[in-house]
Amino acid sequence: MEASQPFHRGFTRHGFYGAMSTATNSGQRRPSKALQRLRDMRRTTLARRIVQLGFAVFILVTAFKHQSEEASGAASVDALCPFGAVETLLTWMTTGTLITKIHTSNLVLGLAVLIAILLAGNAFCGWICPLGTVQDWLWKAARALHLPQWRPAERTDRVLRQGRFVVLGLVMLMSYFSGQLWFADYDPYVTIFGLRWLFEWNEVIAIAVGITTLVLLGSLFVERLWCRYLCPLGAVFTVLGRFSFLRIRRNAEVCTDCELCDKPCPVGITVSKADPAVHPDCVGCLDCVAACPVKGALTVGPPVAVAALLNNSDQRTR
Amino acid sequence: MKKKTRWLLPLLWVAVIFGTVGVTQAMGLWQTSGRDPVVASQLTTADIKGWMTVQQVADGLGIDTAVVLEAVGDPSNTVTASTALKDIEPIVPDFSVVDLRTALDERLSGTASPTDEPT
Ligand code: SF4
Ligand code: SF4
Repeated sequence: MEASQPFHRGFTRHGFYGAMSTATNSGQRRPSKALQRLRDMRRTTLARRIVQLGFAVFILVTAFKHQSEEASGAASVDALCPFGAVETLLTWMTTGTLITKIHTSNLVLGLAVLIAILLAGNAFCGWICPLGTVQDWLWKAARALHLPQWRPAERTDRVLRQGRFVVLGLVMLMSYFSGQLWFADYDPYVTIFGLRWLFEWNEVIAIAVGITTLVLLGSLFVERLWCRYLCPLGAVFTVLGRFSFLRIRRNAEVCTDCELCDKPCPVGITVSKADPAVHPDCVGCLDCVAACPVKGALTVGPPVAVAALLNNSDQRTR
Repeated sequence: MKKKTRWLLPLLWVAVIFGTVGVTQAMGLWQTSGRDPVVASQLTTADIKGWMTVQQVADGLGIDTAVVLEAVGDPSNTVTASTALKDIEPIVPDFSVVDLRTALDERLSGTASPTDEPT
């Protein structure tokens, strides 16, 4: 990477961090703290990209097999989405049955996601969801092309975020009353990764492709547009994320309010004001933790009271 | 501290997902196609598939198996509730899933109307 190039969402090598190495007594140059942090950020991003790519490729290969070889037995993308468990929830609670095209795999994934989020917050959106991955790539491409960005004012942003709950309510009601996987005809995840558009074309697919195109175009100008304002699964995560055991927490006593952690957040959370846990809209990308220059200011851990208890028992056993 | 514990989030997620899927697969609970006993009672005749058994069709439509068997029209009475539709053709040469859908459509509209008819 060129020295003058931005290296991580708005940071420039010399702008924020100054000299990248310091001379040791022996004359060798040792990487400065800034360079170590830069490496750490890159490592976090690389790990995330690899995991994201792994899941996206798995879903694409499965979908291709499902569409191209009927006898392959490969799952449909509908069957590999935890949101199916939410879509069938009302029907299941009231009749004990499932809506069409929902299988036990959806319930299993729904359960896994519930356990994981209660345990470790939402890392699904940052590390696993293929639609999140597509938006990340588009955002990267848009920055490389120097396209303008739109950052809504705080109030507008807050209002727009409610869109996820509107979509969630609509999807749950329509699924319940129709007894069908109603959202599948509009869902950008199913549209992109289901690959139906590659094998057939009709009015329903055309509408789905139209909606998806709008969402993807929007994601060039607003980072993670779908996740921030429209995703119904994201709405579920926001509610459940409040009860997560492990979360990113800010230690106000150590934090220097440098606000470096705010810049890389893909969903626009003001991490520097976290009190102490970051907002449950967090998608667990960990960029803020990697960007933080102060040791112990941002950590992943249990609630403060539990952490204190653990520390005390730790000290006593030593 | 922060440098290491942060990896817990993605690691726990991946472990919980693969662990849950693995355990349910081992228990035989993981099914990704409709070829499982989980069939919604709101099935329509258009949802009838060749892999379904007569019983599943009846459950899915919320009707008696006798109605489905009658629509199948097996003179030899070899077809039972557990017979899959795809296995009926060798038994009833004229049988097809499309014909069954039409026959059940007619019967369903026929069974609905008597209650509406004036007595
Ligand atoms: S908010 Fe929705 S689309 Fe975005 S990453 Fe999460 S589940 Fe995927
Ligand atoms: S708060 Fe931190 S971990 Fe969460 S989405 Fe923002 S940058 Fe990523």
